[in-house]
Amino acid sequence: MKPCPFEYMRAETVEHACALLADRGEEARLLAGGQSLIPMMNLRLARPATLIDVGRLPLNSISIGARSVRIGALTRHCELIDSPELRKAAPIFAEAARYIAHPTIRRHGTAGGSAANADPTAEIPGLLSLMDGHVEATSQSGIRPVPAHELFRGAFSTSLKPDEMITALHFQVPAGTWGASFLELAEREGDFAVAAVGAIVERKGDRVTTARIMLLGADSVPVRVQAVEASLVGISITNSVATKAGADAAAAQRCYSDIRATADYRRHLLAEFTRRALLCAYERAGATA
Amino acid sequence: MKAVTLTVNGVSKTLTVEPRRLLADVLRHDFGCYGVHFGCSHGACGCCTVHVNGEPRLSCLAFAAQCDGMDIVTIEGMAAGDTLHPLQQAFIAEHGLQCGYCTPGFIMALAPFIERADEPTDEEIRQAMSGNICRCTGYHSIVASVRRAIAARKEGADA
Repeated sequence: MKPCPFEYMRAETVEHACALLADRGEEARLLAGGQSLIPMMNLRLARPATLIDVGRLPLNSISIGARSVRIGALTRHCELIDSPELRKAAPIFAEAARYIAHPTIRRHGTAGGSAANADPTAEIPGLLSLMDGHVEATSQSGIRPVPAHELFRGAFSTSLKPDEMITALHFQVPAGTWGASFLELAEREGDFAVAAVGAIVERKGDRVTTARIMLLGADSVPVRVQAVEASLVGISITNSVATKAGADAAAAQRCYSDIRATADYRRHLLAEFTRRALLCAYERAGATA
Repeated sequence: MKAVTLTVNGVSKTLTVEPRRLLADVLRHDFGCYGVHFGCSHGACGCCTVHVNGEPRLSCLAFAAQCDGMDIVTIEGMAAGDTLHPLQQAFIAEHGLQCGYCTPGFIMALAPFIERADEPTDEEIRQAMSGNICRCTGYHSIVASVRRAIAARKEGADA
């Protein structure tokens, strides 16, 4: 399998990349780690006329603040797993990134590339949604923050403009004591997810102060279930509470059937993963208190 | 067309390549490294794994043009003279291969793992090789090969 012919350009700086995008944005694609784009080109599902290689730009960094984490767009998935600081501040990154493909692909695939690719069941878009995140969309006009719920429009579709590139991802973490959990099922280790759930629970004593639940596999974009999240505030998460939350979260989802699973099976997984993730996140939040 | 300089197993060449040519394709056709095997061409099988600047990388998921100036090692560059790499020796000893098509990819993907891992569980070994598919062995003998290579490294370090 060989990709269609294209013109290859290497961006030397972010400004250079933005200038190339402004000039050719409509027919160009950015090449970061290439771990999703190149397979699509090999299969000729993607046929960009121009590739702008941004892979050598100095955009890999992890900065941890009191209530937020900033990940440079070219930070590789393996760095989310290997960073001791990130593991300490927000172990959910490592927990979710372990589900991304295989070790060799995780050495090259990037956080920004995954966000821009907007695969419906990809972990990085899921984390952005779960952690009320946003991306820095950079162009010659400056930097525009785009929140996750506006970024993801549909399968492999974002609201980025043709002249914009993602230069960083921002994730918000709770201020108090919190715990998180990320669960996923794939047919094979590292394969595309059938369904996944992420949960974050912040608690004071035995009571939940905030809860966030994110579902992958419910729709063509990551889904947050605000009504269920709100129903958990002020109470303790027991197995019966978590079971009901899972059932409520999944019941509202239309889900989709495809070669991997039926919509019914996806709803079943989402309900069960939500139950387990909430119990786990609640317990972890207690352990850090 | 794009001018690209690659150093492959210690030999540097500057080539003029079409941008769409995959690294695996250039390694096979322009450097004669036929141990670089195409399996699936979309990152599912791991057969084409090589080392780029010291790190395992799927050569079907990289364009040669992207790798300009980089240092590449293929399975052909793993032996030190007549002495096979410890993993190559272990694969022979433990019957870690049958048809051999996937073997270069396994060895290139696992080479950094055996340098790092001391007493891995089977689960950790299987996780480390989860990006590589073998249709012959059923993987048990590959896990045994990895264990043997790690043991050999540790013995060498003790000696």
